[in-house]
Amino acid sequence: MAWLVLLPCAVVALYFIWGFGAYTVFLSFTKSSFLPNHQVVGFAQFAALFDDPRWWVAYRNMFIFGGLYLFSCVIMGIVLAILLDRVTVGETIFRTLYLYPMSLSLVVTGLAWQWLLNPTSGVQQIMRDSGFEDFAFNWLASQDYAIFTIVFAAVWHGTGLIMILFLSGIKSVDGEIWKAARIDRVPTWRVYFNIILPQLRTTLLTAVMLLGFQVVRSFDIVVALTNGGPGFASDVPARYVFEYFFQRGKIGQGAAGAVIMVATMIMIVLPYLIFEVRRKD
Amino acid sequence: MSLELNNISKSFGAVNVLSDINITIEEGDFLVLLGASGCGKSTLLNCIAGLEDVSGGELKINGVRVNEVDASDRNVAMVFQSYALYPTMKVERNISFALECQGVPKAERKEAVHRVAELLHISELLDRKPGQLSGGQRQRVAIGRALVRNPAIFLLDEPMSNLDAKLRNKMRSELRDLHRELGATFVLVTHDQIEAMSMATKVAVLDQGRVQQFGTPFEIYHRPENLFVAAFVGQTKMNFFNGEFTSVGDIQGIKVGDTHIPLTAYSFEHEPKPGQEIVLGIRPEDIYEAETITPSANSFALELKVSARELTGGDTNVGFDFEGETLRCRYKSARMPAIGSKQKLLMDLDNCAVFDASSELRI
Amino acid sequence: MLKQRTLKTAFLYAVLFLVALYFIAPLYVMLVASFKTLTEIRNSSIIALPSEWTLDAWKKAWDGACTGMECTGIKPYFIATFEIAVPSVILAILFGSLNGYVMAKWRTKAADFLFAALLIGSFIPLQLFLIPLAITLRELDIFGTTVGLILIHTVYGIPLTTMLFRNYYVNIPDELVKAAIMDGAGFFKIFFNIILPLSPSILMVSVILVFAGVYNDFLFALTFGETGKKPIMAAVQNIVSSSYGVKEYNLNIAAVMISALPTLLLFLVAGRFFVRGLTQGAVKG
Repeated sequence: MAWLVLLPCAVVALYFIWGFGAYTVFLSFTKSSFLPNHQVVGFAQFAALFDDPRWWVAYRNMFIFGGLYLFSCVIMGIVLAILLDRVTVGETIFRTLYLYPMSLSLVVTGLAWQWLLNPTSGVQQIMRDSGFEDFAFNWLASQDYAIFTIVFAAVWHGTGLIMILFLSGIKSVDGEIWKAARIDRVPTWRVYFNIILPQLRTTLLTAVMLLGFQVVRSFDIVVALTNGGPGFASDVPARYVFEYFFQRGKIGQGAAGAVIMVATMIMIVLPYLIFEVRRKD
Repeated sequence: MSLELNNISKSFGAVNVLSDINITIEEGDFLVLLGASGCGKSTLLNCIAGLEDVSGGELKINGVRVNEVDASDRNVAMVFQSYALYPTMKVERNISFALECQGVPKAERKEAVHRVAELLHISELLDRKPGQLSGGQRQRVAIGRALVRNPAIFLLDEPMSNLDAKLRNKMRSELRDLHRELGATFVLVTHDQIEAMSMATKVAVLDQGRVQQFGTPFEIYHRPENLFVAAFVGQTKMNFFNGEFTSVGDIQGIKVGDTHIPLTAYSFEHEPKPGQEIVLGIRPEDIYEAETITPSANSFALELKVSARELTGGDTNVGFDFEGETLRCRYKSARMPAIGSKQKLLMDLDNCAVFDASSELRI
Repeated sequence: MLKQRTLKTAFLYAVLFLVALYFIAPLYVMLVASFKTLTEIRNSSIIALPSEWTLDAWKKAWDGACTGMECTGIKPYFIATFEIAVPSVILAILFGSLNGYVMAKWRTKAADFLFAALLIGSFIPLQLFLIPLAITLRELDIFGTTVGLILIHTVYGIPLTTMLFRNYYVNIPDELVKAAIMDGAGFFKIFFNIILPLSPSILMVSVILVFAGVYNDFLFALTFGETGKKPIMAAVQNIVSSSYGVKEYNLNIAAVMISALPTLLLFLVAGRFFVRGLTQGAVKG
């Protein structure tokens, strides 16, 4: 009976996940263009991909965005968690305020920030209206800075969850630690940074993993906020791949991009996994 | 109903958890499987229940082989260590759930539940959920759940380990009464030797997946068949002295250091050869203060120096230096001898046990 | 000493308040704009309150705004999304809870293997599945239909629900299942009478998480949505970025607000389940 129940699940795992994944990897070695084509062409699609300056912009953006996003979310998350842990009154309300963006879709997030960062309506205009005539803030329209607007919006969306992870971690630390620290006259900030946070190694890890997968998958927020623009300055691999699949009719090259995305992920995660397994032995 | 375990073995992969288990009990027996944690006793109980398959041997209930019979069809009931009450069901449904699964009509179920509840004095708890019960009440419900099915055999997995000491005493005697009243076959797993001694009609002492000794509680206590059982059973650990089997004149005995203790009263099953390494075992309660009893032919007098003492309530445990080892003795009084003082003692050798040093078996 | 402490507390709250501004700003700006007329939006600061509150934008966004040629508002898309989300949630949870039950309580090598396959698989970026999915949906003749999207969301919801339920069921004592076996209860009887009654909280978590996932989905909605009945996120994005005629900002913003409301309300009502799902699912996975 147990077997029968697991059958749909096995179909999902083997066909829809691993099967599909393998098929896309296969496609990356074929001539597929508008339609899947099973003629194998070796690494030609990868060569085409690597020859495409657009891909490198997108690929580089993933690291710029990912690095800043991860760093900002974790730092802000930890600081906010500590601040909220110190607060006696109003914790719930602040927590809710920091956390609610999490419930919104990344499309809504992107559109909301688009509105706020829009040079003719948003922050730039507010500042100019309030007397700073020369104030300029038009990152959304800037080749160099558009990618940072995505960081802004994504951090807004993601910080709350990281904060709550650390907050529950901090609160789960043995209360006697505080008594011991007080008797030893350890300053409060030292208790956090030297005693409590080091105990939250796994929390940090969870946070980094969670955010990391968001980075690789980031498609919605880019489409909604900049749609990869101006030009393709803020493109990311997830959007690039999508465009090559469905709008440019270059399935093979898109598949190659997707394979590189996964390979990158594996290269980042694998050393950690090996380290963890070794540590357990 | 009777239960027969023939050469039962169980292994998980390459690990042998049970080997060569041979136990037979009759209807109405109360079997206690006694052993330290990890000895395989709970696995054995799960095998009897049918929750685990045995890897070898034969399991018979009432003379019928049940190896291949499903747990639910073996007609055995089990009380679990955590009681495993279904948390979302009221006590009444907890007890009647087995009957419900068998398709017993509702009216009949109700009657059965009330009969059991009355027997266990839990009638007023039927409408509560397990979370609202105390430890003792939960245990009664768990027993009730087993009872209601009228099983061939009751299996109990450390049922008292979650109760405090006082409640444990009470439940022990209640369980004994229940067993007598029902006349049913019980199998109980425990690491607590008091439970074994006080409730069992038969005890199987397990260690490392093997039955070390199977017998009545009296036999287990007074005629331990090997060093392990001798050491494991007993509130205060038995004294063991290694020595050589020698004769002084024509008196055979064991030479421990410079002391020769005569073993003429001991009836050997396999008489040791002179010079053989043997172990003398004697329980602390068989060593007395000399002035409290009259010496008999089989008592052996000693005068030793007190090295440690400990009041345990009615009794006093006293340790003595004896040939470089500690001899433990249980004074049946609250008298505390001073450390370093010399005391006159009498060993009652009627109840001693002698083992071969290399095979560790009783001789 | 006392003064120093008061100062510290004041500083603490000042920081918290400033951060709160960052988090509240986009919502505030949108909310305010959605109640303004188009003229007022053009002429006033985005942080100013409306001089005259109007629900026109909301009304028009609901059933009058245009995406390309169609001027139906987001109402049909909104309804279509629920038509997809509800069956997907039910199916994903049905399979996930049964899977979790089998994996946690009837452990076999095969089940452990399957769990690992699902778990690792759930980290694969969805882009990898798009082309084979498109082919499969075409073959089944459900490309660009509600049924197709239900299938997709069920299939890719199962790893999440399986993980949630398995991790939850692992903490239910095995003895409970053993006791039920001894009582003669079978596979499904144990599930429905013992396990499921213990699951309301994890059910709640799963419903919220899967619903939010389906409702907020953009990638599949964009790729496989039915023309004219695209799921809400694809539709809203389409409305806002459609470049026909004059940009009616107030209308676009109201449409975004409406599309954000369901999950936002869900969060305000049942936030703790939201958090628990996202953190626990992640921590133990």
